[in-house]
Amino acid sequence: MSLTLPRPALWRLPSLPASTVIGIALVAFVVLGTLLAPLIAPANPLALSTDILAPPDAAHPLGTDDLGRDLFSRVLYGGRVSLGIGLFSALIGVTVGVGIGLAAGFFGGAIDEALMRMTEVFQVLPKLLVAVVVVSLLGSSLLNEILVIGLLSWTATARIIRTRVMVLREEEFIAAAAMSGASRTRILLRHILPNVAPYLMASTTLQIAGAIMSESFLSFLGLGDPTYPSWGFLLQQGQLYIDSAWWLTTFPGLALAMTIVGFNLMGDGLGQSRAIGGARR
Amino acid sequence: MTEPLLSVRGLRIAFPTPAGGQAPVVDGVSFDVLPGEIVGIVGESGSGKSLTARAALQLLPPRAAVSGEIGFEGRDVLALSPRDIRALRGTGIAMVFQDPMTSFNPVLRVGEQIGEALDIHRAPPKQAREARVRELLSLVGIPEPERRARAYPHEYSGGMRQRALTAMAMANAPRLLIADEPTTALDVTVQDQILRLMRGLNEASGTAILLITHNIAVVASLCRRVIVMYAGRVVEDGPVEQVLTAPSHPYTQALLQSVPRIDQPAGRLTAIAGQPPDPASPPPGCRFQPRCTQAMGRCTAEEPPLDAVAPGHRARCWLALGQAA
Repeated sequence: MSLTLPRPALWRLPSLPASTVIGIALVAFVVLGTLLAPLIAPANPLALSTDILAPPDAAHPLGTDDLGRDLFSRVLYGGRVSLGIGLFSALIGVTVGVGIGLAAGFFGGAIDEALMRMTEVFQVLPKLLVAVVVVSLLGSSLLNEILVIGLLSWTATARIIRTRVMVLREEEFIAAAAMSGASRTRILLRHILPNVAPYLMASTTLQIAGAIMSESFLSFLGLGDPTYPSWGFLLQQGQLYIDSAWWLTTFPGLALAMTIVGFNLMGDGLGQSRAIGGARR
Repeated sequence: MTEPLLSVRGLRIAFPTPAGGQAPVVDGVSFDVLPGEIVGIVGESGSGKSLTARAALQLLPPRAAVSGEIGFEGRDVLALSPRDIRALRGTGIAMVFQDPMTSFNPVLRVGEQIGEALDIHRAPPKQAREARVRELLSLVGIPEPERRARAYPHEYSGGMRQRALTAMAMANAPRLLIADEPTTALDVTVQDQILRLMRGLNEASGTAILLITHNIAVVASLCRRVIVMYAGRVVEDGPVEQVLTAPSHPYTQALLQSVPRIDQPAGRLTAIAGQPPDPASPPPGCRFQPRCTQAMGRCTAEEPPLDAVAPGHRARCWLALGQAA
């Protein structure tokens, strides 16, 4: 006779609170829009026309800017820049945070002390100010923006991971692995890292939101990469006409707000969701 | 006489106290385990039995101050480099922990975790490793090993996890298996299965077993020799029949009396009055004297040595040594 165990149903959606569902929907909407930009966009975002500062109408759903470029297309393509920078700088931030958190939590002692003091230094830095200074000095480019935002946003992840690792380190299965002769590197990579992974979903999501916001701030101050206009860049361009062409600031601002709120709701939900394992133990 | 497999001499393990001193929780412990032998260490919580066992694998927390000698096949375990101790763990000495619920990584399949123990020491090719994992699982009596190897720890019952943990410990055919309260977290019926399994492994592969427990019945059914520890010291050791039928040390006698018996009318359980001493400030003389019903003058003045009361049977008691006066 063979027993059959119920297989864990990965495809079954865990029940999530409404706010999380809204967050996921907003993020999905924005991500789809930017991914499908070449299909949806009515015009080349860089194509000039004589139809300047036209209000929203059938030909230009969100109006045009001062050079006659279609704003809807520009918002769609701008999303690629904003989301891309958000994603990559969050990845950098999470990677650095995980590395530092793992090392501090696992090795403890002097290593922990040194890494945590460094973390505190980074935590008290006025991040946006530092980002402005560094980007001004190094020049505006996508890479510089991603690096600066990423390298300034790892502290929260590092602290969360450190605490979690300190708990895991005392677990019996770590001693059991050591009993089998596993080296510290093996224990760290094979037994501790997979157990902190669920915690990373929430913090990565929240970091994307933060990074998008930081990027729009830099672009709004004119420090964005002008060859890749992000939403912040569109806002900056549009503010010249804020009293004559409201659409130039309203729509990029709306896109930005939707995205950030979406990622935040999603991140909060994932962080609290038992179904996904975010708040396990 | 055969060379001992494990030979512990004057082992002392101390932890720093909040006051800044050192509290020895294991103090001057010496014993041997011969190849293929099953030896039990009994004692109440805090007597230092688990720490003694963990010291043999250098698995103590770094703040513990360890001195003395732990010889394994002629090498001093305490002096081994990190690389050498890792090579010894699993292949020379392996350990089964008390709580099978927490001894598996929840995110890895059981088969992968047993396979990992193989990878660490030999890195066999995938097929050979999988075959060996199946072999190990069936060795410890897990049905349908192929399917069970692909299951996660939460899909196992407590008894099965303890079996799987034993399989993991046996993966590299260790010469000594240390079982730290392997049955404490399990149902009585499952306990019995695990004990049979341990005896079977001992008989089939000649692996020596050092069984740490506070359960005298477990010792009686499995071990050839027993070591009784109290407050960080060995107070009695000898062949199981002798120690359990004619205990020499009052602590062993009291331990045996506190075991409820099925052939006598149920009454109040006999407990040993008092508490084990604080390791930071042990009592003068014999460590058991404050709780001993037979204590006398010499017991508070001088600590008795661990000396022979019969061939192969030692006790740390003036009375048993016939030197009470």
